Amino acid sequence: MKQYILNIINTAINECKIQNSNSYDTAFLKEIVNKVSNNQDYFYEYVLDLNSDLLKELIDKIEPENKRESFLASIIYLKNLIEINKKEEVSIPLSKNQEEILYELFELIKKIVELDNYNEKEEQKKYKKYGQKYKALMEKLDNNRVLSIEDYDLIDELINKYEKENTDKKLNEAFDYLNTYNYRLLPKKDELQPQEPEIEISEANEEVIVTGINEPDENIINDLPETAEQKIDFDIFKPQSFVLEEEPKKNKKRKKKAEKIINEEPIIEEVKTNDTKAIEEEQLEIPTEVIEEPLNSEIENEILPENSVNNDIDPLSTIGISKENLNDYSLTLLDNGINNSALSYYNQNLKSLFISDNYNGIVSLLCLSDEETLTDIFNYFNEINLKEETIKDLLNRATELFFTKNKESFKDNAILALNYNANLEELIKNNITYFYNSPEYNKNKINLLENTGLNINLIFINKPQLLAIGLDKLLKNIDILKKYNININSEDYESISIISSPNLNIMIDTFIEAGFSSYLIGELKNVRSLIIKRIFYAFKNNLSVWRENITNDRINNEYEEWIKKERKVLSDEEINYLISDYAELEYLETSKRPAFFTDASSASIRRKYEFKFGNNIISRYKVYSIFNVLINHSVSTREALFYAITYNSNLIKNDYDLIKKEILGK
Amino acid sequence: MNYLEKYNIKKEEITKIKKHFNKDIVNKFNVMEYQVCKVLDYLSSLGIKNLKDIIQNRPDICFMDLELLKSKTEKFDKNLIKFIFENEVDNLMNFDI
Repeated sequence: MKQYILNIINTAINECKIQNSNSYDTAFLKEIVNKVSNNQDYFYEYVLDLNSDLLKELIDKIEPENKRESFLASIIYLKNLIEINKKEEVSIPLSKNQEEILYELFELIKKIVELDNYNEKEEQKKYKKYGQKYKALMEKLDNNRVLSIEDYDLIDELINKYEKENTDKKLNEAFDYLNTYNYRLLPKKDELQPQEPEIEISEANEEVIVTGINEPDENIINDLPETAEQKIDFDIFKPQSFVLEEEPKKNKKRKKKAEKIINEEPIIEEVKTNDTKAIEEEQLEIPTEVIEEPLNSEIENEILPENSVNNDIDPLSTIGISKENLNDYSLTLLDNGINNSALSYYNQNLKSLFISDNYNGIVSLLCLSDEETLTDIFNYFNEINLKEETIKDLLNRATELFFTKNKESFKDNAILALNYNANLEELIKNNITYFYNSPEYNKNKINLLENTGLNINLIFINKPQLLAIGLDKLLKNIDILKKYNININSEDYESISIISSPNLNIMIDTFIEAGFSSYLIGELKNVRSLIIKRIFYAFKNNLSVWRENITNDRINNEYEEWIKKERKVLSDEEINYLISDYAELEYLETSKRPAFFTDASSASIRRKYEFKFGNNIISRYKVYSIFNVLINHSVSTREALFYAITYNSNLIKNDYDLIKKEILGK
Repeated sequence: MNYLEKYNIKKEEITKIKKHFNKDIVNKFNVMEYQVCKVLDYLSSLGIKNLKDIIQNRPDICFMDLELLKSKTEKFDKNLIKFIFENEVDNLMNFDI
């Protein structure tokens, strides 16, 4: 696998170099250009320095192809003429036409030189941007050095790029290999000790007490949050790229062996037992440069409890947890040891509050919290009179809130929610994930939502779970509602839940095309009601909820990808600009908008939101949003218009064909 | 997150889920394994099969109070709730879930 990864990096490095497919020496051509620039007379001679192979190769670049032969013949004739002139020391002046031929050839050479210069610069830029990164990665692998998160990213990117088939399989294999590779190189708790353990040897019974301070394992460091600044924009439920594919795989046999040694056999340097020899052998596996390499610098900014391992008694056994019940993550945390103060606080105050089977929650808390943090948090709970039942719920459903790194999070998030008259007990019950986000993130999110006109107080009271939805999606949907003139400030805040829907515009267009535009526009609750009814109807009739009659031959996958990524509802102003640019849209506007001889508001709504093709209603806003995406990808106007009209529309074949004939003329 | 395998979520799918989320939430799935399993056990008992999609699209449901989740789902016909979870997971919130 290592060779596979190295090969793929090598391919990437080679790609950074622009391949020169020319056999000629561009340095030589540069010299010719320079010489002509410095000496005008040389212009009449430079052709003598070009041998016939080079001339042929240069002229092969001329288009169209049928001109090459005659041009080459003219050049060769000229070359001979100039050669004779020079040899015989006579001066037969070149005609204007002949000078032009010489000039054309010179221009061609100049262009080749310019292109080469450009390529060189591009190559340098490309190399600076990527090549150095790839080389550094290759060096690390060659020299068995620890890979960083960025290196994982890079390898992920390269495998995705070059491994078109079996990408997932290769990624899995590569990351399995890299995890093992990295794990072997990372300093282990018993190997990375900045201070020599103090060894006290009791003379009487040779009892040994080891009180070494263990550095945290880098796996744990990786699991800690980013810096405070980075946390601000951090949405816990926003999909993001994840670097380490799996927890580093552990050599459990090796780990157990070392644990056994630590727990059962005192390490005495002077008396070398078989087991101590085993530890030394294990240590030899780790290259020294790895130990010298600084740990992730983030560690300096992290609040990490100073844990210690009790080597006499297994702390897990005192709280009735077996390692067999723990997942890999908890086992990794245990490498850093349990925090004694957290353990003591747990035994005194928390044992009865935790669900006893919540092994991983308990172990994580004991490893990543401390007494001071827990005391502070519980003091705040007392201050706000949080019920014991709620505290129990928090401990088991949001254990991370009690970690040292999140010491202030709960309090700050609670204060923020209280500012909006939230009921904390209800909020914890209904949307615990609100507390998972950093207070800074929640504050920003609430501010942005408030700026759109949403009533945050009502959200906290009626739909707190809405705050678990990613901000991007919420803002996008609020924008959609505004563009469709659907009032978001309804008193009925139950219905605000529609802003969590990922395809709100598709749903609204579907309802418009089903003839509900005058019912839909303006009222938030009507949109929700239609969504529920539509789902119920599909369930009852065993139908697809949103797509009917859309056969595969109507779908262009490339277009669909663009639409998925780039579609946005256009404002009336943007629509007007678009119409003014395309005559075909003018045609739609004048011939396909429904005409009503009434001032009723439903009539104006229908004119605004609908096109009519025979008996079929087509959403006008849909047409323009899809058309806009396709036209930006240089799809022809009529093709873009046809796709936009029929996009996602429930059209029977005959109607579909009629529209096709009308727009595409076939 | 390997414990998700017991819910018929394949290794490759777990890898995809991990990629979908940032590391912090992956850790939450590890720390709160007990809670997540309770919810997934319940959803499985309703016959819901696309647990992978639920985890990806509505991870907050995995951390929801189980009694609250039960009270919300029990309002609806069992087959309808299965249909919504399997076809319209993104619209669950419109059903107050």
